[in-house]
Amino acid sequence: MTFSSTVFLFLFFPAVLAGYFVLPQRCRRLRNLFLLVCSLGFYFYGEPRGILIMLVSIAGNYLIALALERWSARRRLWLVLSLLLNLGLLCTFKYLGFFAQNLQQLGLSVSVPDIVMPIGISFFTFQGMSYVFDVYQGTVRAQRNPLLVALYISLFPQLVAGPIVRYETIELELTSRRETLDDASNGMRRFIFGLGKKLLLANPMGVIATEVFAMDAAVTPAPVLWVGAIAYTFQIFFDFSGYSDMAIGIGHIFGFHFLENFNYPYISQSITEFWRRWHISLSGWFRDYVYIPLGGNRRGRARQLLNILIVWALTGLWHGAAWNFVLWGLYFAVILIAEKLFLGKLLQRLWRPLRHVYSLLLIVVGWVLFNAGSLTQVVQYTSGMFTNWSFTAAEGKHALYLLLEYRFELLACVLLSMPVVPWLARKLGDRPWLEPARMIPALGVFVLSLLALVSTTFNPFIYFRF
Amino acid sequence: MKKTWQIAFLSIVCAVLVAVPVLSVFGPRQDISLYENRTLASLEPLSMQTIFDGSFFSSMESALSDHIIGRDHWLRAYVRWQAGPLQKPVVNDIVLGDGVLAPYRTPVYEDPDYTQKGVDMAASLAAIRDLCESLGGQFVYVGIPEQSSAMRGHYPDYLYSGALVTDEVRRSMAAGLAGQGIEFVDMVPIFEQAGIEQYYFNGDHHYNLRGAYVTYRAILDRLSELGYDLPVLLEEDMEYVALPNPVYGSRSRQLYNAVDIRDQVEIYTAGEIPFDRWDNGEPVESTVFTLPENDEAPAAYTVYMGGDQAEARIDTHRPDLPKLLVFGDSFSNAVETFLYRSFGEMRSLDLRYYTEKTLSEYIREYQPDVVLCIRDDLNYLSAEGNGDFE
Repeated sequence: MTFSSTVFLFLFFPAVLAGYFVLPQRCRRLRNLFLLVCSLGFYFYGEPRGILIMLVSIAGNYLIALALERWSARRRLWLVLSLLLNLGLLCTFKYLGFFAQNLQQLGLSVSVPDIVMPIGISFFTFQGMSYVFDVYQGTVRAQRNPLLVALYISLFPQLVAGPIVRYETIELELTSRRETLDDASNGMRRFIFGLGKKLLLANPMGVIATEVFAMDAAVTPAPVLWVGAIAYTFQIFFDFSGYSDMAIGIGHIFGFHFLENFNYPYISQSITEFWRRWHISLSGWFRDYVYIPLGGNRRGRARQLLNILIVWALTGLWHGAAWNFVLWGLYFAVILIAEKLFLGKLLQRLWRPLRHVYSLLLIVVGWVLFNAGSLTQVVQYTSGMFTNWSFTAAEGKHALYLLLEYRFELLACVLLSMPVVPWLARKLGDRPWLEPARMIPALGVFVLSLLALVSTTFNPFIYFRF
Repeated sequence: MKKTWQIAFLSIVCAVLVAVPVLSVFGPRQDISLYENRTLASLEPLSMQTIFDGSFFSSMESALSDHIIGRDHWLRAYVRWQAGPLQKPVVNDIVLGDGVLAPYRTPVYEDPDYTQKGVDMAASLAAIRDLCESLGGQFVYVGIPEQSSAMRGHYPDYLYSGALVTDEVRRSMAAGLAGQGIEFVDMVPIFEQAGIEQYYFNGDHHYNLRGAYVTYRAILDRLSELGYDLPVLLEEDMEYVALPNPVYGSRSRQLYNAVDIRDQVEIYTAGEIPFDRWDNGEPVESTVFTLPENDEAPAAYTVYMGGDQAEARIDTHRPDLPKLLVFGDSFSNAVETFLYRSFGEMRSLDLRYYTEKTLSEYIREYQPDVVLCIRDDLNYLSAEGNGDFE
């Protein structure tokens, strides 16, 4: 079930809201139990067969965390066991087919298993692992109540597409949160704007990207390829950040405060900055649980560079079991290393608009690697963007059509990729008429989003496949 | 004040979230979408199997979307929003030309070459022609430009009309047919001579009744050249009658009739020729026009012959006149409303739906004097549906 589906909006969401707020606020345990049942139902709806895998992950991480505290002398052993459990699940259900396929291509006689990847496995596995790691490092205490661990891992707003919530972020809120009118109102507004980002911006951009990426890139004119790549750049941002907004918004309604997952990544002046602003919960996860344990920058320059390479190869692989994702991760690793070694200093001397152009160019090319269906398409598409400049006027007009057809959406994408709204809010300060001024656009976006939801069939969530 | 606004805002949103499903369940129920020409989705039966294979839940999604309260109004409002304030040149894959609706086409950047496909299709048709001739009959291929191909000039210049590909398809088909010596009535030059646009609907992919009449005359002219002496319905002996009904063209339906398009469905009146009719072996009313129930009901191209039939048979009880077999796409429906008048018996097959016999078996059994294959230029080379003669 996606947040931008009729079943979620018109059945699940109102039913959960009604059931949850009918229960008295003092019955925290009952409200938690209700949320847990709804969250499991939410997952069961989308992945009836995968729920067992999630329950195994919950039970395993709960028991291992308890064992870690109880038998702390063998902490490493429990940690290894946790890694075996979580990575075992991830490798079996996400990567086994990919590994087998590669072995087969190397000439080994291996059969490729037909395994369907459970939705959101990368997210709930990483949440489970972060919980055990935090208990291992002593930053949090192991939770005695299995239902609270289950609620933390399966909480439906962030269950299938993140953000990856650390246990410490919501540890207290699991037992002693307060649902307030401010939070509910802000949360609902955030949810609606997230829904609008998805349905009114990401989906139209997705229509362009899907059309252009389906063309033969070897013969498609460069302007069309550029429009397709830029459209995908916007699609993935508004799709994923829209989902995060909806998750954070729903969290607020129920009294949870998840950390931000995006911070206007496309205004970055370097790729290093971009990765501080994009999918913050994932970057933070890899930094804290892979990069730093590997030694980070504490073991010399060579080791640091190796650590960066490892982290980014894994980041790529986390996004999907395919070589183009690994290539995408390594692409950013190389740029980040270059920025660390020499490019960063050069960039600082550059005129600011040029730094933005530099970042955006590399980001757009990066998304082409990410979205390409094969390595051949990666090569054809990226080379086509720079070389396919010989075409007839009629052929080139397709780019013009795409720009014309989606001019309002593109304009909105450009504006909303920049911190225009926070800037406006700062300028306006806290005036009495600001509250209705916040609500009325939200209601407008709500109506338009519902119109788009009922009327269009193109509604994929990119991060659902992770 | 702030609190009041917050409560009002939350109340409005929650009211919508609750009212829509409640009204959808208890409101008026519609099982068929006239605009989309399909049965609306329904829930899969609830069972362990449908739950665990996911089909129950996915049917829930489509059923709720299909039966949402005021669905047609939502869909129409969305088209108006796209065509109005957003000024989109293409809505729901339909190009909003200057009063003419055409399909949006993704550009093809390679130079098309369909020569071999034309040769292959003509070879298949030649086999049908040879069979007809062995039984003493005559085979004629009739090619009709599809609406968007005929009205290609209505595409804005920044949009790809597909003209390059269609021209190549037409060329390769004509070359293939000429190579096999197959009689070919190409309606493109005939329509163009008199102004092609008058023969087409603005919001449907078919030609109109006037286009069908010109096609009928072109077919009879060719048969006359081939030695057939057939009675002809002359224009002065008939009268076109425009139906007052709103027109649901295939393309305007895609826009939920939210965009104003001028179209009229016409029928004709002429001296009566009594006949009996059977559809798929069952006797039906002796008419070639299936009229809407009343003046408000929608009218569409399906008025002609009642739409696509797997097999339609009309017997005018004039054994002295030749027997005709027509097979091909829906373009054959409108022209059949004229053709039956010139033959003793007319049968028509739509190979997309007719499965009882192969085309060859049917011809051997029926032994028609004339066989017409009627196809539109976008489908000339398609070996599926009416291009699959096996």
